[in-house]
Amino acid sequence: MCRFLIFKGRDPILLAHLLTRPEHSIINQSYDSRLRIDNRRPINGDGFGVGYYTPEADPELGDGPCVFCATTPAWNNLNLARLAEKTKSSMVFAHVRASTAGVLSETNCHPFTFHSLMFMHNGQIANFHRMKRKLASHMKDEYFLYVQGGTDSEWAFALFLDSLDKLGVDPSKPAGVNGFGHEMIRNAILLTIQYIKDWSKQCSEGDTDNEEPSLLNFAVTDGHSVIVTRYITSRTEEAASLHFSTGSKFIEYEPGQYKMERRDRRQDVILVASEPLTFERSDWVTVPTNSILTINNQTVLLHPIMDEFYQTDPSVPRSSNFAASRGLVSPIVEPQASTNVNLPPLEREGRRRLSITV
Amino acid sequence: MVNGTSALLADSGAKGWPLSRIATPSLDDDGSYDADAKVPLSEDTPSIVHRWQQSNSILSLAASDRYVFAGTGGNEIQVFDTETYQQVDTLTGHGGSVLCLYVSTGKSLLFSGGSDSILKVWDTDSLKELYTIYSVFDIGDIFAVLYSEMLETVFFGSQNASIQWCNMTTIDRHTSLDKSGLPSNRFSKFFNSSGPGGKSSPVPKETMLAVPKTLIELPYHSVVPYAHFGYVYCMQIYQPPVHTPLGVVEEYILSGGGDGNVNLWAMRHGTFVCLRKLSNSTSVLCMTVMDTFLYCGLTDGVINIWDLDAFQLIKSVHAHKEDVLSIASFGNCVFSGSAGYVRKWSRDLSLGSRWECHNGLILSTITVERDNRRVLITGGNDDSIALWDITDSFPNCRPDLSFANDQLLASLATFVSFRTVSGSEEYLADCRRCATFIKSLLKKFGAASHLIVTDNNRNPIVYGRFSANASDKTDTTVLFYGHYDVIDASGSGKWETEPHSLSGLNGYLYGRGVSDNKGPVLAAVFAAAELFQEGKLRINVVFLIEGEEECGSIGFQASVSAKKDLIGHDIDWILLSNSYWLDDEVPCLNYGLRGVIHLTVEVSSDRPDLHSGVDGGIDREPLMDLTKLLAKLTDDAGKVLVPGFYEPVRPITEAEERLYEQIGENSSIGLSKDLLMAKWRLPSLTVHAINVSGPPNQTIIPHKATATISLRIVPDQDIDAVSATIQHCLASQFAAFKSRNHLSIKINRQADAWLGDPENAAFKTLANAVKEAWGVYPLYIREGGTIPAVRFLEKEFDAPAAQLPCGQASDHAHLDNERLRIVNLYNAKNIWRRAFDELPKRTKLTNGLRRC
Repeated sequence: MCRFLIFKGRDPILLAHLLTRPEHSIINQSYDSRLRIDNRRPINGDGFGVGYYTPEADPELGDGPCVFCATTPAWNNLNLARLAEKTKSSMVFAHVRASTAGVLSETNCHPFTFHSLMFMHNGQIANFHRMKRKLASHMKDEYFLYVQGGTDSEWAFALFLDSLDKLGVDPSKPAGVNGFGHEMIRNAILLTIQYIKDWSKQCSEGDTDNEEPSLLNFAVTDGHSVIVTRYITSRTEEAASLHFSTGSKFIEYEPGQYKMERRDRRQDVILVASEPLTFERSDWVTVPTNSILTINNQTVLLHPIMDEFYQTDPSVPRSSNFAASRGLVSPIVEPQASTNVNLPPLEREGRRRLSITV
Repeated sequence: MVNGTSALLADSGAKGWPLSRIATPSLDDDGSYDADAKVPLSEDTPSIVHRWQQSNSILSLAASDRYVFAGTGGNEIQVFDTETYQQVDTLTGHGGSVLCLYVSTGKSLLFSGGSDSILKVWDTDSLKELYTIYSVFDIGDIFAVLYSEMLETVFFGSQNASIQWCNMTTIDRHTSLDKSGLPSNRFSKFFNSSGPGGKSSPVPKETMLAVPKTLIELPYHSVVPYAHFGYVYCMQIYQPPVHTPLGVVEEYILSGGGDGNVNLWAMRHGTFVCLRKLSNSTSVLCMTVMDTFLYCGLTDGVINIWDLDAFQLIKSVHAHKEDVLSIASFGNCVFSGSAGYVRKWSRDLSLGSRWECHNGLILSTITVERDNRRVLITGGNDDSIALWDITDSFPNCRPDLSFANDQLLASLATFVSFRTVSGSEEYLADCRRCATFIKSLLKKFGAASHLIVTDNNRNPIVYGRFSANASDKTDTTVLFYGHYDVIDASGSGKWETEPHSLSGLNGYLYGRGVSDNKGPVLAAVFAAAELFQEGKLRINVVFLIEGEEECGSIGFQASVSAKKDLIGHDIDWILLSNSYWLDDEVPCLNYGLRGVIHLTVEVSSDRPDLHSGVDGGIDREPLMDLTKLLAKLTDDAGKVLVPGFYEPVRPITEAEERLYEQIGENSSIGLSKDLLMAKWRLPSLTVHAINVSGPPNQTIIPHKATATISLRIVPDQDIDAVSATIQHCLASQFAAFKSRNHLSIKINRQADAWLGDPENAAFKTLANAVKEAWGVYPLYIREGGTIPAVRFLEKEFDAPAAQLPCGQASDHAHLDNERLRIVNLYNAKNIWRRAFDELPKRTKLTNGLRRC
């Protein structure tokens, strides 16, 4: 399980404002992750990656992103700190890794790129080792051959590329002035999820009750639109965390302390992250479980993924048992979610302070 | 309403609106103008009425009958009075930007939603908070709120794409005493987590949420989770005419979202049902409904018009270069706001005009109607709120303005626009036009009015007389004295507004002469005119508005004496309003002014200017003589040595002493009694300047040196005696020098001191009127300055004078950025109105004119 961060702005931002300076920056999350405390290995120290698109349209630079990654822990990489202080971009993907699958290798570091596209994953695909052969034979050669490393995430990206292809888009072609279009990318991601879901079920050897769900928080962009999913193949479990924040400016009001200013109703700055970058409570909104967040131009869209795992009533609680079993919840002892629907939601979820202290 | 709507529909059909999408040429906000467009750019643009400058972005606006409410990026709701333009309150309690506001006029409720995920309900009369409402879901920013009077339900749309509602009739059932459910307090896996070493995250600032009045936890089933697939930006009530397919009389809710959809909702058996989706190309940021037409402002600068009767897109216009952030409609006009500019459109968006409103994005636009005037209010991220008069956009709307305060402001704007600087050839024509303007205004209001020319061809005096016309009229006559000339405002370059154009800002009017003396004069004119027009004027009110006050009222005395028959021989009281309060808080009455003697003292030699290296040491130098002579006027402690200079000063009475004590007790100026007395009731001597002949370098012995001196004199000094004494004193001192140089003394002008009787009927009447207008009795003050005409008029008409200061101490009269608070202007009018109604005939025996 890893942490990722997406920035899209009307104006470019200095990467340091995202990666190094905020109190809970993605680099600090690599050793102080709050929503993912694995008792065995409490840190995301298995490498990192930063991908960004160059601000000016320059034919020599092409339309793809630049990716800088390393297998050293993010907090220990001097070059990352140097680059962050001198690089600006209006579209940034950043990722710190705690490997669940695949060895420590630069080829296993997110974000992955393919021509103009960039991709990250936070989560894991259940039964991946069993479906891998199916996956490989499903894909066109060029996407099968694209895979360099050994992670389920990279295979998921290859599957996404193949899905785009199957929807009639050649992902290796220049995306054009407006990219492939957010509907197209969203459909391709949905198709990717559908395949993974189907194969995972087929490979579960019939023991569906004890099967682990897949945690599929994907982020993909063509340099124009961004699609991020928060998804779990379960009706009762909570997906891996995902938050977003929008406003007119992301300002540093004290050293290390940032907040999202709302001087108008526009979304000049859009941040999507596994964990909030700041402790400004009202700046961050949880992406609902099993939904897709889209950034189209400077507008955030939210679509539910309405399949067999969707809950129409937002007050129905999801348990964090699975996440807890994976060491993916906060160290604070929290009362278990109750299924008693007669209780109001905050009590049911143990989110009232009084009930927590009891 | 219903019939009118169908007629309008028939109209629009007859005009043959295209029922397909036709994009008109793009009209850029950066000033470029497409010649193909039919839209004139600057014609018919409204005039600005007032501007409120704040220190935070203005995100939302709403208005009640009395107030304008502005939600800011500083977590506050600012409240302004639309009558006096004063800021009256600041509503605090939100923990984030106040993104939306809605006023229910029927219920006197104000709803506010913020980036703190909190919805608050306020009483629009008491301005007190009634409820704090929160959702149990993580909804993020609340962008839109509205209240349906018919459903008695408040609806709000949020960042997490949901719409929630709360029925206000059952709200008390959901009262909670437990603050731990508030979004800022409730448990969060992230915000309540500990970092390395068990260090907790910063605790949220709870100060703002200390004691919410009444806490309401929204019932968790009153939510539509994905009301849109994007932020819910805006909401509108739609009440369709009965003949439309929707049929029954019902209130529908329209919501516009980041997904480009406008959804039409209805409340059916406790569930919120989406009946229709109207799809637009980009995010719907704002909406307004006119009859059955819906106007949607989109992110790409387009405005879409939908026919809600047929649910059909009728027209799509590329209206702005940037996002259409706010839109409002009134009558047949649509107003759309974007970056800097507002555009005014006809209902089919075919014709329009534009004007620059803000130095930034226009985030909120509303229209209000008051006193039959229509006002457009815009708020922007330049931290300001601007009010625009759009009455002229509606030819059928004929506001009855005759004496409304708005008309007073409009007349004052014209009055200030004349550059009536006295004593300068350049402005003679402006002074003439201004005098004619006042004369015409007086005539229009029913007064007899003439210009009295002054014999040396200086600026004329405006004479006007409102004759008593009430059924119980008396033969009391008052003479109001004022002036229309001003001090020159050019040259300093430190004005923040155009000095000869009246600008309204933060409850003040800025402009040269607005406080000295044009505003106060108009307040008195309007007070008399109001009474006269209503047939309630019980006394005769005579106005003498001169044009040379700032130059020492040259020619005034002779002209007034010559026209005494016209002005009248039976004046009971002299009234004026040509001074200021002692501070900015407490109203005052003025009962005394010092007199003044201006003189020039010159010492000269018979020789030309000399070189000090060549001729130094030969002669007594004129400048040395002059400085020695000036030095003889005071001792080392600054006491004036002119014989008898401090006599005869009238001894202070107990009654007067009490007035000084009251000032100490009630005013914030912090000046001691002794200091005030030195300024007001003791004489003083000032050396203003010393000028020399020859160039100003260090080798010249000037052959001539001139000093300008003034003396302020007080009752009971005799001005001629003081004048003779100072001249004699200077001459005899100079003679003692035994110098070969020559002394000459010239008296430039002099004016008597004035001391009124604060106990007389005029002051008593004014004091009561002040109490009624301001709620407190005035302080009685004097002033160290001089108004030459006052004492002259007292003597000429054998009538005592009384003065009502109009503006505040910070008015900057004669300085840059001269201003007058609007509420002071209105109250001055009200005070004069009451005074003109109540001033009694003077009983000359008991209340005779005191000798000064």
